[in-house]
Amino acid sequence: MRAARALMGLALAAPGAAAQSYGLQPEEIAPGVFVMWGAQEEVSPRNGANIANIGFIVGQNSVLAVDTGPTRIYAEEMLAAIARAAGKPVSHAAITHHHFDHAFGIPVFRAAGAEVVMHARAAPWLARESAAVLENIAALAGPEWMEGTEPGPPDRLVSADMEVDLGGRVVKIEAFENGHTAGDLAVFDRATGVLFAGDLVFHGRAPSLPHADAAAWQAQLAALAARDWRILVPGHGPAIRGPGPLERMAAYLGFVHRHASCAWARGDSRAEALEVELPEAHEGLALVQREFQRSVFQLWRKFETREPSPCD
Amino acid sequence: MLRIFVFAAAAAWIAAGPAGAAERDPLDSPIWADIVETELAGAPIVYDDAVRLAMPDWVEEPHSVPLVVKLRGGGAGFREIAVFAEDNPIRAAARIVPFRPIEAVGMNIRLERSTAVRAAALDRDGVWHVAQTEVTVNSPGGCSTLPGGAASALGDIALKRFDRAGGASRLRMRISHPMHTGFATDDAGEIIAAYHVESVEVEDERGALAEIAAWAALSHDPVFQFDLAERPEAVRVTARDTAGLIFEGAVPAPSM
Repeated sequence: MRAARALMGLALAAPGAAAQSYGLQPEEIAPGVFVMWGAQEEVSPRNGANIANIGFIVGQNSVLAVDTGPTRIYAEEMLAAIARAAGKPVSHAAITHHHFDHAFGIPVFRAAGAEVVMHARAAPWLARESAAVLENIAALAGPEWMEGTEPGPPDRLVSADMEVDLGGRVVKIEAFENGHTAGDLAVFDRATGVLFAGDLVFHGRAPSLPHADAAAWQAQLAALAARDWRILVPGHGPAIRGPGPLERMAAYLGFVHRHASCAWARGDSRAEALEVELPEAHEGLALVQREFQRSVFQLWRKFETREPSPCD
Repeated sequence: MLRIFVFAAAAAWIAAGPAGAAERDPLDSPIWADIVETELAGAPIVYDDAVRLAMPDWVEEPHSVPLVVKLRGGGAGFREIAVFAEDNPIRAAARIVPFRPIEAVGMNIRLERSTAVRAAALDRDGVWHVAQTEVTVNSPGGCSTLPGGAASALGDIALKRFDRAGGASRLRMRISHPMHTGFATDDAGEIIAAYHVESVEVEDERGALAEIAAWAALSHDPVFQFDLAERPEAVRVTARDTAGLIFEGAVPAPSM
């Protein structure tokens, strides 16, 4: 099986390509705040697992990275892009959560001298799941993209908000628990009002919720929607300038959870639970068919060990 | 009910043709032609809406792919139901013989790789009604690798009855069993010998409800689901595996 996958990866690689490259082009969305937008796609050989939004904030003395991307190659290209755009050392990297598309570049940033910060509740998940996820992603993206990617732990664990001084610019790292995952971080730049929300927010794409608690997540979305920010950078999808996308996302989470718990209570098979017409508001979301199926199956596993509150 | 059945049989006869000539397979699959020959004894086949196969056409968890086979007319007049995965190391998943009309049958199967899955139901006139879904398996290996997760206690049978609309009911049973395919290896790289549940009998206070012949193409901890027009009071399940072990489960009458 492994050999077959390796061959498949080789066959899919661009002919004559000596090395994989993401061609990262950071966009300056506010003074000193940069984003590299990920593809709104499933992981594939075409995107090399570059599917999440990754960013950085430039102070007078140093730079804070928001996530590290999915691979060694990405993290190295990102460091080079930061050097070109800022010409300052990366003193910190805040990892929004433990999923591969955000966290697998951690060792590259540590080796470059950055202090890598992660939520205390996220780090054990990273340690537990990295090996299996790495194998899955290599199968989906092709092993050449994953060459040299060795997921590793952060330097510093936080479970409360903290501030980082980049020189003339104080950035706030905010801690969230048991919503999207056990531990998520967001990064708020006071100077520009830019909020990096990580995967607490998906925009125009159906959220994936393998480690989520829907009710807590909905409450966090409501709190984020009510706050005063100017531009919100979601973990996936284009920039957000008002509360609408957060409200729609909370509605989708509510729909998925309600549908699955009702189907469970009726005694549906998982096959039957998938046969539902999505409300019009959610039809246009990228990857909604697949994410809906994933979410229903994930909730089913949860229900098998813990009965959901009965359907209304 | 009877009228619907007569119509179905007539339609099947017309579609199959008086000489039992084969109707063209919508997927034009040589593997299926082989399965028809070897597993369905070359009986006449029709591809009509007497059978509906509900299952995802895209799969990331190949060790446990859910499906439900729904039969027209509440299942009246159908003598046998079978499920096959064409391009799979184990093609036959299960055959079910109902002793009373069963409207729908559900189960979880393993898929090694992308394949067509077929559900076939044999009517009283010896015609197989067939439905199919072409399934893309995104992460292959459902038969050749072990599923994750802890093993459950061998032979436990969890049995549950759900009341459905109009006095109907659904029975669901889950039999704790590894259902080894004979194609997966253990941590030391040794092949794990095939070992699976091979038959299941379901009965209630009025006698036998259904008999299932099972293969390792079913998921580990296999699940069966039956939709009945009535609500049986006391259901008993007896399963036997390839080592000759017998497992039993029951739902007592609600008044007990």
